[in-house]
Amino acid sequence: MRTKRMNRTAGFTLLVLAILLLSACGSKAGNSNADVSQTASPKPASGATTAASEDTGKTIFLYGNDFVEFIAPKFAAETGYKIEAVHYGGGEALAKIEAEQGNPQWDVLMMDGHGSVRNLADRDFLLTGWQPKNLGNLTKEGASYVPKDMAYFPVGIHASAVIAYNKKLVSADQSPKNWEEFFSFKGPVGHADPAVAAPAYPLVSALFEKWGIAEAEQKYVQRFKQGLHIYPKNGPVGKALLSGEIQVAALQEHNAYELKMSGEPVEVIWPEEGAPGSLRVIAISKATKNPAAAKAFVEYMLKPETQKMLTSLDSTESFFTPLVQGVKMRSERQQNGKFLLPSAEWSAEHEVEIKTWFADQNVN
Amino acid sequence: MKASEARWGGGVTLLLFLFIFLPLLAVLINVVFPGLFFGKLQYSGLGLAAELFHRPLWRQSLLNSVTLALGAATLGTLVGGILATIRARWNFAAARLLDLTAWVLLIAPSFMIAQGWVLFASADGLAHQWLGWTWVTSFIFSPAGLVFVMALSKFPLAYLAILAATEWNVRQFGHAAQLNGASPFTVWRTIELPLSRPSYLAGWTLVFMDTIGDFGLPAALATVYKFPTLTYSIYSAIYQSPVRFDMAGVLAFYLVLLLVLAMAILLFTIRRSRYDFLNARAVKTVKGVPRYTWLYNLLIGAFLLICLGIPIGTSAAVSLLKQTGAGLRLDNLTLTHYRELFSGATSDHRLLDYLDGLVHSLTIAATAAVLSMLIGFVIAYVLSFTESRFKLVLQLFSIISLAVPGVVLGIGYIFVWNQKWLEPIGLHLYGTPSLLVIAGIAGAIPYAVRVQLGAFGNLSGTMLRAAAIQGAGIFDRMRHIVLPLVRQSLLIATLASFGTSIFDLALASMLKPANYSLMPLVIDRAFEFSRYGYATAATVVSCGSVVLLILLFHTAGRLIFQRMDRNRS
Repeated sequence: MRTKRMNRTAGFTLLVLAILLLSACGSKAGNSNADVSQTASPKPASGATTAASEDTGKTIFLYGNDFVEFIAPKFAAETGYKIEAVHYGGGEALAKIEAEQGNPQWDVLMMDGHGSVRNLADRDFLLTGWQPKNLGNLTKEGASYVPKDMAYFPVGIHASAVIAYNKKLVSADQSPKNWEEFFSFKGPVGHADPAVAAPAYPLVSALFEKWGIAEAEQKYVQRFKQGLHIYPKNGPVGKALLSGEIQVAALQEHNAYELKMSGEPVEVIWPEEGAPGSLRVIAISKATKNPAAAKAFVEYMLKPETQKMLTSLDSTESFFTPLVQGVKMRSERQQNGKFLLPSAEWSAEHEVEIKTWFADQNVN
Repeated sequence: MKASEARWGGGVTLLLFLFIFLPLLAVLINVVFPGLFFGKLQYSGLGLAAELFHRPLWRQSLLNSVTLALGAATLGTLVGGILATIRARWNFAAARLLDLTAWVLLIAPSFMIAQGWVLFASADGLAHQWLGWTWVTSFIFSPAGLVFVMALSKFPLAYLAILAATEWNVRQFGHAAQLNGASPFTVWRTIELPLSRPSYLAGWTLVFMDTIGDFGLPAALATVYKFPTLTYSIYSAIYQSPVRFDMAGVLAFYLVLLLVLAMAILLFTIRRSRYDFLNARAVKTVKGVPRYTWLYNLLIGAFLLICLGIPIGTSAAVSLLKQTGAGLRLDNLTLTHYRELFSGATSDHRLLDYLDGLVHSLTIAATAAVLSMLIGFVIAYVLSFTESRFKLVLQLFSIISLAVPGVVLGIGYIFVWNQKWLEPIGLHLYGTPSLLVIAGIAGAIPYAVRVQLGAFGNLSGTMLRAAAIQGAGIFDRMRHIVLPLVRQSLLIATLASFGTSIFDLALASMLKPANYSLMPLVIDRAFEFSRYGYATAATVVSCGSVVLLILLFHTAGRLIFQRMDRNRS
């Protein structure tokens, strides 16, 4: 009996010692992280202190895939709230949110793909029912994307895929001008994997909605037979287009314009019937301990000044259609390009079905 | 005395349970009770386990993994066996190089090797551009090509296992048989083959296990050429929306099942093969000089050029090019990528900051190495010199993490360590670097324990008993008797765990704190953003500095031990 008890106490002591040692070195590193974020936001502005009374005052975490590293320090400098941005791929951010559901670590989410965010809302992950003051700034189009339960707010839309072709291999008159022609193109074509790349599900789901599920499946089966290469992300798709592995690609807008502008032999076509749209939305975690800071971030993103700053960035991230009134898009883009955008409900509802079907087709 | 031994035994068992077994258990429990770790109890039944055979992707992943592992294990054992046989018999210049290559391949992370191969063999790779070999692309990105690359990077496991067994000269048995009239073939069939069978089988199982659990190489190679494997499907089940942790658990279950099977084969053959042929007459094989030394040098040299030269050489070459596509011309050479590494001028992506990543990775790997050595020491002591009840469990726990791939352990760690109730007691380790240290320990424990068990095997228990009778406690016995005798292997164990844990990609990408850059992630991301110059320069600097550090510490350790001995005498 005695040995057993001692045994247990000794084991426990050893364990606690080891873990304390580890948490000590963890907290040290954690502190250094906090220092970094504090230097990013030197002093709180006067307006922030009153609004923050319901908050803990701690750093809020923004998960997202575009702009986040750029926008977080700006927001911190202008409002005084402490914020740390974490750059993830779309899938990665969702996986993190899912894995952390017992104890969420994020406060604000800003990402492409309103279907996946709708899915989170339906499963009660998001704060609902709060209406931002700046919601009135949205254009008519923007306002039409706002859900009734106010679970998320649209801030911009861009093309999850345009048609890009290698000018060395395909002449202008041979190149596909619309999605029918893309699917019946003679040579090898390619796009990113909807299971892994964030913009690829908006692409596939838009085509599935446009043609209806049965017909879209048939078209894809045919296309796989004729040569359809699937790459994990859009970067490798662009690389394959340059190397000639594929001649035409359904390529994410930023990647396509980046190749064209850097002088590579790539031409970009905005399909006649529309490019599959990727709606960038912003949502607040239901479990946030700092709602005032999180809400302030949403208001900040809906301001015309913020959107103007983003569209004038010197990077291809600035290629998007702003959804706030009075903001102009980049002149290099198709100015009146149409978008194919399934409703959030439709894409959330069919997400599992389409992705599963697609993954199983794409097996040798 | 018994009580204190039991305490130490119980303590390390509990630690291993928490660090290794509990995360694995959590992933498997999540299949049957999804949501248990999120505070919801619901039973989903066992139907999911059978779904594996209905979905083409998962069925294909299982099939691909098994094909790849069987192929790589067989080819790798063949290559390793031939090389070990030559190496054990003959002495020639390239032989030392062969040993060095084997160790470098053992430590070098598979994703770096894979990236070297991709840069070499892809449609716009070096083989195509510089040599005009288009067939390389179609060969490497095919099932046979994947087996080939896998076998070339994993053969050292078989090579080292077989070499260790062929070091001893047991030709007297053969001579005896020949005296009795046996033909050379009968001698080979009835004596040499059975004697060497265990080492070949051990080599085969080691390569099999390492291949099937590997994530980096198939993730880099197989996504260019569509060839999903179990580890990659686990990874994509986690990183897609909607996230399928349950499915990842099922796939992990099958993976672990395959590994347990391989391990069972290994244990079975070791048990069956107790010939005890190493007696007092055993002598080490004397290596002769072969007749055509140049031929051996040439052949082995060419082989080394393929298995290490292509992946590492391609990376080194690409890191020096201004434009990957522009070929090897004087005006296309540059050191910009190396300068970029240390200038910190990567403002567009904070996670690409190499210096930060290097410092973080070195600190974490060093901490994990020292702690795993200490824990491994206690485990090896308990296993060798005590009658602890936990011996069997300890054996099991200390080998599991070798079999469980990092992706699976990673999910388990999130489940276990991101619990709300851990926060008030200060143990919420998720999102802190300490979880990376724990993961590093879990990965290094099998090696630390094996190396130290080997060293402890030579020690006699009588000294310890004598000391115990004189009243020395267990801590004193460890410190004053065992430690000085095995310090050399402790050093090697520490350096080995340092080398293996510093490059772990899967665990790093899952467990890293927000905006915390780590060396393998920097390389992987740079590769993903098509910044090949930066990625390869980082690869070269990382591998170089790790090898240099290991050599430095090894030499320093030897010198310090020598001085200590001199002072004592």
